[in-house]
Amino acid sequence: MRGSKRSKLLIIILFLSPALIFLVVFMFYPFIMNFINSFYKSDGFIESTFIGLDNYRRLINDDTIKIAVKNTYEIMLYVCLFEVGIAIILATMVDSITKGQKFFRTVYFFPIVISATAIGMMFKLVYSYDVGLLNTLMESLGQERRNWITVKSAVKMVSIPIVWQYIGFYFIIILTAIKQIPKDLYESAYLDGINGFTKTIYITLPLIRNVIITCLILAINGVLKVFDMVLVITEGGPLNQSQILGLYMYKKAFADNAFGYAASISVLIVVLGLLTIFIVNKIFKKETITY
Amino acid sequence: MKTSSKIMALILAVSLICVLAVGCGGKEPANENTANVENNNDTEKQQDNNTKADKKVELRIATMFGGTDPSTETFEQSLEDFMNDHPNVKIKNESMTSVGDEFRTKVKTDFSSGNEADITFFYTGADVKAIINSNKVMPYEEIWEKYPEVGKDITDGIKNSVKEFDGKLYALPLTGFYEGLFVNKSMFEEYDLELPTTWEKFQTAVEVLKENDIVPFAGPIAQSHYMIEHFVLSQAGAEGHLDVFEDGIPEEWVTAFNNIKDLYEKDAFAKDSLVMDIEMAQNLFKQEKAAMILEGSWFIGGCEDELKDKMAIIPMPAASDKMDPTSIVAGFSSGYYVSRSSYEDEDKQQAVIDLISYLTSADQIKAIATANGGSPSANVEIEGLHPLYIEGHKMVANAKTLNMPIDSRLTPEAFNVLVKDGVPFIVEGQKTPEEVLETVKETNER
Repeated sequence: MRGSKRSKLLIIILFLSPALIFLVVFMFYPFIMNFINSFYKSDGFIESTFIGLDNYRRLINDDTIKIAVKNTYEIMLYVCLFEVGIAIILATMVDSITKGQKFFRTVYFFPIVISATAIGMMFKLVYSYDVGLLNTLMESLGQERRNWITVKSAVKMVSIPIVWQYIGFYFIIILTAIKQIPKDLYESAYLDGINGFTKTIYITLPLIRNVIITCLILAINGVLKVFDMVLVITEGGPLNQSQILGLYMYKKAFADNAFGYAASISVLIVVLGLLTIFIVNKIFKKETITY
Repeated sequence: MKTSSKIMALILAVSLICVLAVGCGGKEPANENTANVENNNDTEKQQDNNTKADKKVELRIATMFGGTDPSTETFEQSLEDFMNDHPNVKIKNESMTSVGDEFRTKVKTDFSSGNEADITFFYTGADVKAIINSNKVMPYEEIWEKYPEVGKDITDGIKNSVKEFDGKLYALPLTGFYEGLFVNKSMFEEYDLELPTTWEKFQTAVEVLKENDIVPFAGPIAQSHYMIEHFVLSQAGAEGHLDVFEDGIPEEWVTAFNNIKDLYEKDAFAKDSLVMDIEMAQNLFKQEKAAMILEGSWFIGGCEDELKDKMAIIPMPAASDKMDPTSIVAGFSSGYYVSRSSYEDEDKQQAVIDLISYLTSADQIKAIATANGGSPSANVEIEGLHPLYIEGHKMVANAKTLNMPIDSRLTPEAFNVLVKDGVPFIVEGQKTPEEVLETVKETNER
């Protein structure tokens, strides 16, 4: 008996150790090093001086950080409302059709396989004043050309491709969850006279609630990592009005050579991410429905 | 669990660990852009060469002559020729394109991790300061004590111009750059305008071109690197341009930024100038939708011959009498570095010296200058260049002062404050030049 227990334990260790090594080497170690670096004035390569909490003091007084935090949460709101929202609508609609489901799955999922940089370039061209698709359309409709990316509209304009790219991802997750709901639940509801929109509101959505929360958490996490799309489309401008945390950290590290300060921004990103997800979990915490 | 399943599980787990171990192995990093130039030629030439009789030596070289750089082909041919002449030397070419920050990051990472190439072609100034401070590159003064012939073809004036903060020379340059005002002559002729050689002519051109629905000036406000250089130079003159705020905020710099604001308010820039990048501004000029652009010598290479025939290059017009009308921004901002570890390696020293001497010889400088159109660092004559290149070289030759760009004197962060958190806010009236320059000063001193 004891030998069997020991061999089971050995198998567990053998199976879990590669993943654990990966996590320690590529996640925990860099994070701890990053946290340590945030107390240094560093060019990231050769020169490094301990400066205590100076980077964090600078973080508190940095006006651009305030704009970046505000914009990051604004994009988070758009992502929760539109990315996950449109995915739910599309998933319920595709679930209700009998023919062509595979076609819609492929079409809606397609943008995810394109790199964010390519999508950024595409949207940059779409918004371009001189050769942009939108202005060409405006002209063909007899309208004046206009600047699509302005101080007021910059965040919204960069949010559109961010939202658009990942709708398909959440669509697939939600559609799969809907498919797991037993058919007899719908059949008995149908006998009770519930159908169409009410069926979605009272049966489908409550039963996939946990999946929707998971999607929201993934979407919120995703926004904290965004930087490439904004870098390509606006570089955080004009006047820093589309600056976001991920991009600001990247610029401080690789354009300004202020790696220590960039490390403190990444600590802020981790703290805000954990805090936001904790709040989301608290808000949506409810008894799980099993079927 | 069945015995066979246990065995399978064990094999799977061990395989995973093996994969991990192999993945983390210490194999020399391979660069995707690396073009390994192998020595296939075993001809026995130049018997008198020092390295010929020596044992096999492998050298690594990292340069910016990779990717789409116009010098790539010439450089790779040079390495092949060198290896043909030195059969015992094998060169591993780790060159990359300089577009983006990847090459900078590669070189700095290599130096900080002790994996530096034997010879590196890299920037001078602020970029290399930390590497010099870490004592990982050789000052040529030390090399010349034993090998006085190294880099002998490069003119003394140019060698002096790339000396670093400690007065020593660490990089031997090949070609230099210059910046100036590129003008579409045919547009100026069409509207009967004189070339903008004075501030008044420049202002008149802006007015007339704007009235005729032509973008007078292709200037990307949020990437205003060249605009900052030239507007400061035209207002503060060559001496004022060198100021790094040691005596406070210079008044001329304030006026220079107000000059940019003034042009912005007069609609001298494109309507989307606040969000356009350098490439978009270049396209505007290349498509002949804009009449003027401030750019560097490398810009010529990207223009079609048909457009080159219509172009002229002149110094930025003087906005005040402090600027000599011939003054330009130009210089030599990159060169070959020899790593200390390679030089001090007895097995490699001779091969490194032979290679650096060969790469900085007049013939090689001429070959690279012919390929990229830059100003050669040696007294050589470049043939077959488009007249626009010759015009550029003449502008350099006529210049009474050649100033290096402002970013060579400010920290990258301070200069980026000027570009990103400065000019766009100034032209939009959200910050004054004084406020911006004060922040730049603080950031530079941080």
